[in-house]
Amino acid sequence: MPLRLACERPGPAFALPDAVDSSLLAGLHAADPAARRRAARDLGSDPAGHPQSVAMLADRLVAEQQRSVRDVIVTAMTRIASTDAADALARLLDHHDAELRGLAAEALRQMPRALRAIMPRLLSSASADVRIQAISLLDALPDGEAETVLIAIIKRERDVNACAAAVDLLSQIGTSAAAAPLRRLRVRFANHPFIQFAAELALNRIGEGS
Amino acid sequence: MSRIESFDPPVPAITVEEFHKFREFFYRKTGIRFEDSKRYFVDKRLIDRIVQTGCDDFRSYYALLRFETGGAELQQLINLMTVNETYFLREEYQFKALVESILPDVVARKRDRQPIRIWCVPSSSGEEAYSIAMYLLERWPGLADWDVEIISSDIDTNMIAKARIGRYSPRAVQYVPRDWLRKYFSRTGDDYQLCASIRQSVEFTRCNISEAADMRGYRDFDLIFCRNLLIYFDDLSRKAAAEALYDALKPEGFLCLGHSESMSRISSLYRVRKFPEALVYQKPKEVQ
Repeated sequence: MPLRLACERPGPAFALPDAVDSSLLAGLHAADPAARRRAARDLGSDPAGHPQSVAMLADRLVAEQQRSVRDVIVTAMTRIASTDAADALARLLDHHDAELRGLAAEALRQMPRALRAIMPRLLSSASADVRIQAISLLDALPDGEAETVLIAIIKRERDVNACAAAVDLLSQIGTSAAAAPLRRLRVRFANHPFIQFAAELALNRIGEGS
Repeated sequence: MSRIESFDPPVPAITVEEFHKFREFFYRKTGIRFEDSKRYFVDKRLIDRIVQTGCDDFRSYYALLRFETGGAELQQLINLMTVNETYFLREEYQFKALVESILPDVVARKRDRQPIRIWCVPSSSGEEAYSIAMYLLERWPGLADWDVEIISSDIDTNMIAKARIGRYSPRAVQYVPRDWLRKYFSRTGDDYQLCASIRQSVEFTRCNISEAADMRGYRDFDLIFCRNLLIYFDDLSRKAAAEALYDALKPEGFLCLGHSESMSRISSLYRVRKFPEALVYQKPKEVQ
């Protein structure tokens, strides 16, 4: 059978990614929430086939008002678990909508590898709110890493609430390695009773109390 | 001294890295994650399939799994790796809830004469779906007025074949009342053969609920039984499965989980309905 040139074929030999993406994009914006959930699920299950999937999902997530669709979008992004997906979710950590902030934090917790990749950027964010959210996610990182990062934070972080978040986590996962930095933190924030109390509690929990 | 040479091919071994690689692949495909403690279980089955397929080692077998058109070998492996332990009338309180509370609720809301649709997933070898069929015949008077479709699905094609045959061990039928046994089964050697009329009342299909493409065709169910499946999934796969089941239900449709499973730890999409016999989950009405 002779070869037929592509232009002679009755239809496209394969589905163009753009065409697929545009139909899924239409699905993401359909009036029917079930159609929006289906499109999100399809994008999450085959990210390689849809290079724009993270951007499409992230855009829709911010605009979406239905909780059920938001949930499916976030699950799709969590399944993709790329650095891009983590980045897009992390941008919601200081969103004015508390539900979105919560969904993003919960999702990031379930993608530790991608979270680890973006963590330095989150911890150096100009927004103290983002830094606090990032600190609360540190315990999702692989074993042993969180304490090292927390110790570094309480050594240099200037925001008292961010330090308090770090001390709170250290009281749960800290070891004797955190004792000296916690004592120095108490000195640095001598005028903040809460830090005095939280650091003392953490020191007691790790067996280094005064 | 002469050496005795063995011509048996060496048994392939699975390294830790290969186990991890396979575990991730299998998880992506099925939602089932094997812990390190399952290493022996997984290795044994992998090695068996490497030998059976004539592959030289894990690497070539892994390539076969990933790139084979049609995925027949992946299906074989899924059949080997999944757990299929069940029996008739397991967790019977939910069947009581079905006939005494759930179905009356469903028909009270029904505005059409379409059949009531029930989905059992996973089907395993059919005991649950057939239990429902018998329960409806024996205990639900509404069957005189309503048609019911029972569909039952599993990822394991061997189990589906077994379910269609409908032949069961004495252990599988140990909780079936004697008069039901006489009515719906006949003895075949040591086993029990389910009668054709019950077997024909259930449609068995293959479905992987972790696969969006597989789930697309499963819609408009009034009730889903998904018992003791999600316990094999990790948190993320459980959540994805709960969301997929949500879209398989009609608005206000019901979902029954196993007695040790709780939707409150998986997803907030469903609302809890407390019936006298059982606690089940309901998809709320949705505003467009």
